Amino acid sequence: MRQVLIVDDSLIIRQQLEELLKEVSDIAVDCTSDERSALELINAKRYDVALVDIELGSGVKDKLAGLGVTTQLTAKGCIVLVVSGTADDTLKGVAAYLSGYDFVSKPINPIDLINKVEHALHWAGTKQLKNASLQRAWPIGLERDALNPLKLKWKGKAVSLTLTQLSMVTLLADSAGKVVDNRTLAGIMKSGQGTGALATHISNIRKAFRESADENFDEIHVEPGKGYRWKAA
Amino acid sequence: MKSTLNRVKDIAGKLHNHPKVKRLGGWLRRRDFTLYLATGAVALFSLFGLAIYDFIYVAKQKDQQHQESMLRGQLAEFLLSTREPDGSSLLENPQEFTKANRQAQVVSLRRSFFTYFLTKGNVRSFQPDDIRFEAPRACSLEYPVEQIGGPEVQRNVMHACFGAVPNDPTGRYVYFSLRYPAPAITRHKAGQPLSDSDRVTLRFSEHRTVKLVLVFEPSPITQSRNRPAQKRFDRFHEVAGFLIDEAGRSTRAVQAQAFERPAENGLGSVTILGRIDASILPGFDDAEKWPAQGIKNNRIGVEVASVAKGNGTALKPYGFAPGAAGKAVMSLEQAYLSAVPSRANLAVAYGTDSNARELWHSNQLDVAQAARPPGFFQIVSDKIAELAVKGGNPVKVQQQQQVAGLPRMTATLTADEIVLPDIAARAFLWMIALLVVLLFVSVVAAVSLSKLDRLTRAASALAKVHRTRGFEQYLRSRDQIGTLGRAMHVLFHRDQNRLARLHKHLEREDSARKIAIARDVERLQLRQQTLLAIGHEIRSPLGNLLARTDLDDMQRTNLERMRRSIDALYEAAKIEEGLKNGSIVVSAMDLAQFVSSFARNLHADGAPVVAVGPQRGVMAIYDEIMLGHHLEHVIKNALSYATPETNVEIRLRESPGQAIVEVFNFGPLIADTREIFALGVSDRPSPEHMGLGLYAARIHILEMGGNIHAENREGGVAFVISLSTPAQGSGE
Repeated sequence: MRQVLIVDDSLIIRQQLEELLKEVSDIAVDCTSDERSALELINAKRYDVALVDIELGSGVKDKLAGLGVTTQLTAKGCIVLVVSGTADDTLKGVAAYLSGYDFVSKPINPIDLINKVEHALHWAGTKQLKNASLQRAWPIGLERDALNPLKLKWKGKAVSLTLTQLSMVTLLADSAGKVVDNRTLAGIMKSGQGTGALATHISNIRKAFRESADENFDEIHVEPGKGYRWKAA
Repeated sequence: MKSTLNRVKDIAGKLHNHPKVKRLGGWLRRRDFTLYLATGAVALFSLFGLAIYDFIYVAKQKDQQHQESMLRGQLAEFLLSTREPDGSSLLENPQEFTKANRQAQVVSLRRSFFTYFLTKGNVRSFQPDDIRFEAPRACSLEYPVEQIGGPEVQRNVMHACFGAVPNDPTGRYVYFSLRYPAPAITRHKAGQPLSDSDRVTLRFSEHRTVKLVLVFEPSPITQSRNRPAQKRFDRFHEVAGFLIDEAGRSTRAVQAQAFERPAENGLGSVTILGRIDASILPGFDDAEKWPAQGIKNNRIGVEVASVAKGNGTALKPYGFAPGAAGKAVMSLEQAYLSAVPSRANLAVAYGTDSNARELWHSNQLDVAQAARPPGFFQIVSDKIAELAVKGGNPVKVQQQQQVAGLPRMTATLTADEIVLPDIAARAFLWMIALLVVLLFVSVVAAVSLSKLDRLTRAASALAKVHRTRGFEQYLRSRDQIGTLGRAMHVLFHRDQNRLARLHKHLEREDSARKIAIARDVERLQLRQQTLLAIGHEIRSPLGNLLARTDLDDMQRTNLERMRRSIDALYEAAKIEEGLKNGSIVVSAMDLAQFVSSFARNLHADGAPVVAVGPQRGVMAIYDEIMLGHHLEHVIKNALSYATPETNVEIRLRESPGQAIVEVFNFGPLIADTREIFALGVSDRPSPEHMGLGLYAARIHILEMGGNIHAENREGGVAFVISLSTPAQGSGE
């Protein structure tokens, strides 16, 4: 059974999340509201996925208390989904410390939440990680981080991507040179979001590669009206 | 031939591209004006120098030829004018026949000129009018006479000739001829005083004076008892001579005859031809070689006296005193002066070889050299010609003459060296003057070019590196180039000041704009932060509220509405935030290919979408990910509103600086084509349709440097996306 941890100072949100996670099979959920108890739980148990709110309270110290939690969880190999209504700038800073992350924005979209949790559980699965060494031939310059398969490298430099973005890139890289249609890519989002959101994700992927590794990154091309394609290997 | 040509072309090409040749070419191009002027000056000087040289050479050549020809003519004329009709020549006795003015003396003649006009043999047919006699011209002297008395003074001439013949076989005589103007002769009658008749008195003065009076008597041949005196002999006379120191009788020492030539108006002339026994003359020495020098030394005077009266007044005697100079009818001096106006040196010598014995030379004469045309310019011209031009060789011509009885003579006429003919010298002067002026102009041009070159370099430094060093010299200068330099300096500083002011102005504007932009950005960021903060502060509790299960429908509906509005604001803020964070990445790509692929792919999926316009080759600047998304959104909208059975057209066209994509559908028009781009405006408000699509499209396309707007057209609606095209020569 996979272990899921919920850390949110709001009881209602905790209850809402717990309720929603019942839709996901084969998981055990633990909840806590503050950093201290969260850390205790983390030390006591290994979690596969965690839903963490960055702001764990209204006090000054609580503003980014969730960061400490995410750091501990990431260190133990846990995939963290950040649940927050905070501005993206703050979350970007968080992302720099996370490997394999995603965002769930408030107010919570149930379908979006469930899809992302299932996605995270999928990546957290040992099967995916074990098979990392058997990855298909990817385009030159693109590779998984040998120490952390949930991290990618482009031309030797680490690129920070959310889980959704990681899945998209993996799909495109696996089919390098071929068009991956919008439906397939949107299926990764699993939130019922349309091609607009997909375009935003692809754009953000491009931005992540440019900011992290290569300011001239231009490997993802559009097949208009159809999908996207990673340049041929 | 072709291979040689190709080789030459290769070599020429290599030379042309050689760095040193290119540097040289550049150096030459930068000094083209100076080089053109210098080349022109050199060509002009060369041409002028050549012209002067050629002019002088040809002038001298032609002058030499002309001189030779002229001298030949002069020499020939001289030699001709020294010949007597009898074949003798003045050159036989150059010592006595040189001077044009000389006193009457006994000269040596080759042959006697004395003859009896009337003899017993020709008395019957003799007519005095038939007498034709000319005294030897070399011997004759001309004396002007003034006959005072009579109705008017008459000026006339008398001729006298006294000569002796060396080795005269007839004896030692002094031959004489006199011709003088006179009225009809009054003869002397025997027993009458000499003063009662016309007479000619000859005076011979050497160490003593001998006076010989000649009177006129009838010829004894004409006084025959058997023949009466004939009128035809009235004007022919026998001349008797009386020595003054002997009284009464005529002397046999003189044999002479005379004849008269009357004139219709005025005086006629009398010609006496006779001979005098030299023994009665002073200086005679029988022992000496004839003619003795003593005889030659006699100074001879002639006086003519007439008893005729003019208007009752006796004519005064006239003549010339012993030693008076008369003008020779013919002399070497006259011949030289008239035949050789060039005054070239004339030498006559016996023989033709280098040992020829000089007979006569023109330097015996005291004649001035032929003068060049007077004038200051001529003097200057000649001086300059002498200084500048090497004189030529003297021109020399020779001619030989043979006089009977004398050795062959060689006459040589030698012209002085002439540097240049007078006209050529004057022309040379003006050419030299022109050359000097050209030189001066060249120097002035060189100095000016040098100044211009300095100014050019200073101006070049001014233009390239804004360096004003080199212009200080012009600040004080007042000449033309200095004025130009000063003007450039002033213009430059004025321009610099203007640029500085403009720069300051632009800086101020830029600064103001930056401040304004920063303020706007700050405001925008503040707004966004506010929005995001508000979004978070509202969304979280709103989420909590919505999570409650005890809400009624009305409460839930209102909360949902609030959430949608907040989400829209939040998303809008995120979009703008995304722009700031570089979510739009543009590059130049083939829009035609993009649009045609879009239409093809949608059509393949069954959508009635067609592309109209070029399929390839329209470059535009855009973000293909975001453009693709927004274009898909617009196309899907168009498909949803399109009239059934009609196509949605994706039209592509170009206009200057823009590529325009239109998505047109037949169908209902849009009420407000501007409002549809506002935030939160949706025709189907729902949690999925927050009215962000066109709002975001507008923001993203603006960020790409393009624009999007909607237009109602006939029968439908067009969404027009205009994108920038790459600049010429740039982009893909």
